[in-house]
Amino acid sequence: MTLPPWDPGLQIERTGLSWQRTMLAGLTCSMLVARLVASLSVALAVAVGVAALLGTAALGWLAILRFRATHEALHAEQLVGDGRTPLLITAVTLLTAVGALLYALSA
Amino acid sequence: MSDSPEPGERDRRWPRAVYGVGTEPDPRFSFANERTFLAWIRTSLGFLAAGVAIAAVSKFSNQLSLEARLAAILLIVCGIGCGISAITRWVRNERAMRLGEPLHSSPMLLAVTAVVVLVAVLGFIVVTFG
Repeated sequence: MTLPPWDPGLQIERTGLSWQRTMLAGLTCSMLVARLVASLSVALAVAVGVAALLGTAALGWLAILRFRATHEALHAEQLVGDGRTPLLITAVTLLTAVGALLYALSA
Repeated sequence: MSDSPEPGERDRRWPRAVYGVGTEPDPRFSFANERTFLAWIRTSLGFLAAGVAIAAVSKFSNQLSLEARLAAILLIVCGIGCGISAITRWVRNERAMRLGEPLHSSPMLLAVTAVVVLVAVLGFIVVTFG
């Protein structure tokens, strides 16, 4: 059964879309890194590209699950929110940053 | 889901420094806090992409100039700062909302503006005198 929107401001949907935009930004950044690595090693570039695609798909799926769970939890008047996913996203971003810094220092 | 305990069930949400204090705020405010966190992450990714792009484009003319390297490193370091600030701000704001305290201001806004201006000045120098 499809539940109606939890609030007229569509807060959950906006937050879900925000997660999707972040996934796309991350994928773009990863693809840029993969393209730059291609000048050093094609195999490494393919590995980086595939890892980025799989990582984005996994995080996107996690975001969808989170969106559904939050929606159902609010309708059931349960508690929502958790810091694990934000921490995971921060860790992935900082890992990308380390790669970017190494590239800028070695270029 | 572990992040949606039933009323009365033991609250296992993490971090306890946030979810172990105060009272539940209006979920709409928590969603707004989460979207702000994500916006900071996207800003961080934007800085990283800009830094790497400057380094890559400048490399076309063989050696990376000092100005270009400095601009690239500044942008990437700013990206790292935005990433760390994103999670710390999320934690502090969520905690403040639960405790009914005023939200914290962010020195990162000033730092981000300063870096953008500095990189623009470096770009101007490279374009004019490079």
